Amino acid sequence: MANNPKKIDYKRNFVVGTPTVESINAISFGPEGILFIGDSKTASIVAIDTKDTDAQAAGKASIKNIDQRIAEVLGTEASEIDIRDMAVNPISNSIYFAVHANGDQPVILKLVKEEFTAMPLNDVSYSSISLNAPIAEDAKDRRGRSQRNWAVSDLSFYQGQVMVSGLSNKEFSSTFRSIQFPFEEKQTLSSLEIYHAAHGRYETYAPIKAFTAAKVGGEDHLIASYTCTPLVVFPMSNLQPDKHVKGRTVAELGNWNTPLDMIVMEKDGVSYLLMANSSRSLMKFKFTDIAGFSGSLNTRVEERAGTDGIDFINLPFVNVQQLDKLGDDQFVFIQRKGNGDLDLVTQNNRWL
Amino acid sequence: MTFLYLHCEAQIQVDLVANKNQIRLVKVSGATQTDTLAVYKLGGSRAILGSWEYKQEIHFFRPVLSLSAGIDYIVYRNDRPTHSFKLPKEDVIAPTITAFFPSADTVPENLLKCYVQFSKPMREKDLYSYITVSDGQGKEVREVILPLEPALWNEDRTMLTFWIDPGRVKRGLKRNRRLGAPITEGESYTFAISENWQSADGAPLGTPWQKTFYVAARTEKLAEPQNWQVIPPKTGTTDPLTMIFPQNMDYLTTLSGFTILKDGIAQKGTAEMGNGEKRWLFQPSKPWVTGTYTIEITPSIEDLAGNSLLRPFDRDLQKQEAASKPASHQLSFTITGE
Repeated sequence: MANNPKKIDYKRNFVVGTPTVESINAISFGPEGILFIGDSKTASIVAIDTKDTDAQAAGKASIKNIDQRIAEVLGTEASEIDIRDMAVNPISNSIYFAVHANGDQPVILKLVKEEFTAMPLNDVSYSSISLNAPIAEDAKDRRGRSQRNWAVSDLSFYQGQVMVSGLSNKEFSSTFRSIQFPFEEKQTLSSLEIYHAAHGRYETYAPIKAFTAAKVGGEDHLIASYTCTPLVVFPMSNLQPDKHVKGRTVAELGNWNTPLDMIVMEKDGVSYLLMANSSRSLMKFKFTDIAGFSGSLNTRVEERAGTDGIDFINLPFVNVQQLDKLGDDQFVFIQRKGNGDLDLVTQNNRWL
Repeated sequence: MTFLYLHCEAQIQVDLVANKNQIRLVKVSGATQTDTLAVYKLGGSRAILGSWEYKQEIHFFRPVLSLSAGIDYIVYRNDRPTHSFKLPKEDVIAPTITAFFPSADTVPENLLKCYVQFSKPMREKDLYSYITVSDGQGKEVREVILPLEPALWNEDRTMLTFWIDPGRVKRGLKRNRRLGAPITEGESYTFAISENWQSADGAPLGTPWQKTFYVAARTEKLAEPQNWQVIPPKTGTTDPLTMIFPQNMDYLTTLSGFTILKDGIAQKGTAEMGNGEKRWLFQPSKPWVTGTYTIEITPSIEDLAGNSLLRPFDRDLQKQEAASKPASHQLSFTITGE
């Protein structure tokens, strides 16, 4: 609790039992070894006390054909393994994997010294919160099935808040929520309407796909990337419930691409944003560029060659599907290689 | 190659507790309490993760993930392979595609969303590899569908929503300015779904599926409820209420986009769409009575281009397109006593 001057008891309303986890779209670590699980099927966030709180130095994790290895310890075929998300516990530096296998059964695995163990989802200490807005019950189809669903697209803990973005299978929209943690029984779930403008002319609503929170120019900011891939920053102080919020578009990152994961790393006092993409290389941005891009693409008229906005560097890692920070000076990722292999790879900050 | 020698220890017996091609519990009898047991996949070098329990002379193994029919497993006792087992695969019913939306043959150039309805829950992994789009000459057109992860499904994973790359549909974004819309007016496109896509329980579709669209001009006009035609049903019947739209609407938002109220009370019933999503039908659970009913419109209903009553998909700030009068979110109809 050294970093927590207010001494918040994060686990004060945890109970021991078996949380309902039917699908896992996103996982992320909070304080004290608490793992947050975003479950789209039940539209809830589950916080689990992993009790994995022994500080360990970050090793270098590397596994060739990680899907085959996971299939081996789960007793199935690699073709059945779908790695949905990956998160590093910042205390123990163990790597956690959210996997769906054998017809979408969710499993969480933990990698310690390159060996997998299972993280149980029964008889654990946990708390959870439903993300279902208290709205009128959705109409059912003729077979009595609700057609609405809400897919958790990203999840992050920042300064006492669990921030979560989700996409709807119905409306072209996203919900972005910032939820006080520990979860309270009576909690208002407000959502933010976030817009961005394109080149001074078209204002559009856009669903947020991936985000991270960090200090930009000394102030807390949300850095979000949309499904149509502009990179947008918002001061946290602007994010007020039920307010029409317009972000500052700092880059357009190209086409037919969805952002997958974003992390913030530091080297020699300089902060960098690394972003993994569905159909682009791993991108590296300098925070000073984000902060220094005083304008916005909202007002930009001239088109440059390539992508628009702030500069970024394409790191030579393509098809990076999962990405997280491993210790202070490494990042770990899952990459589909040119030969079709799916490997777990660790790289260090010499790329920064 | 690995040669596996199974010691013929007759006393070891394995019973499987399985359900629908999935083995959830392995019971090993004939081993002593002090024996160390493990289950491996044939050819595997690491034991399968799960919990072991010894009760009444039986070792119970609960794998973290249910084991699968059709795979060879080996029970190891004290690090020695002693028994192999395999559950034969049961036949599972193949899934089918039961609907695709938009169901009309003509779509606007700024079409945003499509829905595929399956007869049973489908597997999510690599799903975009099963969907292809080709042009009128049969040539594959890439970068039309946005490969969104996680994919957007309904609650029971039987209906997939996919988006036509919004970065290209949106005017003003670089992608749209450089490449234009993903699908072009005047052309035709075929959406095809591979026969190899499997249901969650492992049965492939078996037959390929496809639908051809003709692409018309962009749709710019927002839906105007005052121009919708409401056909009241007859009193005393459970005939459907019919609403007819001048333009094709988005299937899912429109299907569930209305609440029928009588004296402020929401009426129960089922909704259905037809005629290329230009028609909405509501069949009440109880017969209609005479009087006035209100149709409450959920303002987030969308047309095929993602325009809702609340906001256009993209707004030209120079034209002030959305500055027109806000649409009413209510309609009403009266059922007479005749």
